[in-house]
Amino acid sequence: MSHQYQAIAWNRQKRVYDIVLVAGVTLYLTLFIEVSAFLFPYATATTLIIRAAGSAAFLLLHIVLCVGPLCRLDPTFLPLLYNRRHLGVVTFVLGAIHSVAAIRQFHSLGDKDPLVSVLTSNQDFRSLPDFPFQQLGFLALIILFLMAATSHDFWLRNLTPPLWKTLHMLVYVAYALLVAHVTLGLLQSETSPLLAVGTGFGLLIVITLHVAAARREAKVDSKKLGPVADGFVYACAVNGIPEKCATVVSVNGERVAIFRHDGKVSAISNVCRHQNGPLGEGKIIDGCVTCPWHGYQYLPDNGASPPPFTEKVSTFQTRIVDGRVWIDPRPNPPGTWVEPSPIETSEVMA
Amino acid sequence: MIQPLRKIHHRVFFVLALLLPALFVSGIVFRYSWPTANQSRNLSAHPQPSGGTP
Repeated sequence: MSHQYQAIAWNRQKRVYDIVLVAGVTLYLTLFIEVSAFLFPYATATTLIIRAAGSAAFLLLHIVLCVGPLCRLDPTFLPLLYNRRHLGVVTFVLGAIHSVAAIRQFHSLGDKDPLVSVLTSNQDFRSLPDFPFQQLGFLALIILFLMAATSHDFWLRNLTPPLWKTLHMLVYVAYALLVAHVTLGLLQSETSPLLAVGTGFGLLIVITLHVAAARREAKVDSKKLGPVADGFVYACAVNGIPEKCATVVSVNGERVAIFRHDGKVSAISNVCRHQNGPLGEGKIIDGCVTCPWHGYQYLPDNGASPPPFTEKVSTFQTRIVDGRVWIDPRPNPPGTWVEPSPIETSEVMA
Repeated sequence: MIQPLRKIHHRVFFVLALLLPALFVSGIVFRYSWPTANQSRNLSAHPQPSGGTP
């Protein structure tokens, strides 16, 4: 997290992430162009660039889309999520290279302006095999540009996380447009079954991972809380919460993370103020609840980030009776200090 | 706070999970079957127009 403006708050993890990303993309492009030049000796350099950049962008978009559900299913993948925005920016750059090369090759030799030519040269919207697939790719590129341009924390802070997240859900629209672009473009002219199977397999992976992650999330939300007493609801057993970690429960449709730390229990909202990351899946590090996505930190007693940072999340009153944690479902205003509930030794043994 | 976002996410993805496989399969099924070299040499497939020969 940062309390003052920095273009990019570089750290070792970000550097390693970006080096691996750039090296991987460079290796892919080089191998693709070398192998294609060998297999298709009559292909022009521009054709090879169109194919290499386009396929790299499409592959990278699959990775971008799979990172989220993979992290929900297995925390091992969390390092991929840390700098996912850089993956998105590189996807846009590759898509832009693909588009510029394609427009130069197919739309720059006529009388029309190349961009006008892309949008007007084919208007056969009623035919699947002849569908104007280039316009679909162009629309997807505009969406990827919007997302890349607003990917910085500056925009996240100014647009607010809910609006920013809603805007960035357009990635699914971009993906749909690109699947259509590939299916109605490349797969119409290139009849190799490998290309069709590869595209279908990518689609299947994206859908399967999202469905699996959604089923897992639904389990947390559908779990009914226990009985109510004095306005408090039974949430979980103390023994069920690992030390320095949390149990997440759903209260009135919103999730609450109940942390156990230093012989006490505190409850805060599960939603990080940065990018709505799941605080309950993080740990308490140096006395602070640490978001597993980007490391934003909050004090468990008051839900406030330690000075000089200013982020705050809601807190909840807790109570422990006979080794059971009860919480008040009404959230306190963000940053409100709440006395942590002490865990008696007998309650741990219960 | 996060529940409305989650609902939007679910709805968008549900629609796409139905729409995209349908589009993909339709695109593959209805694509042109390009003639091969052997097919194009088959004269019975492309008969000469009547009166075209001297």
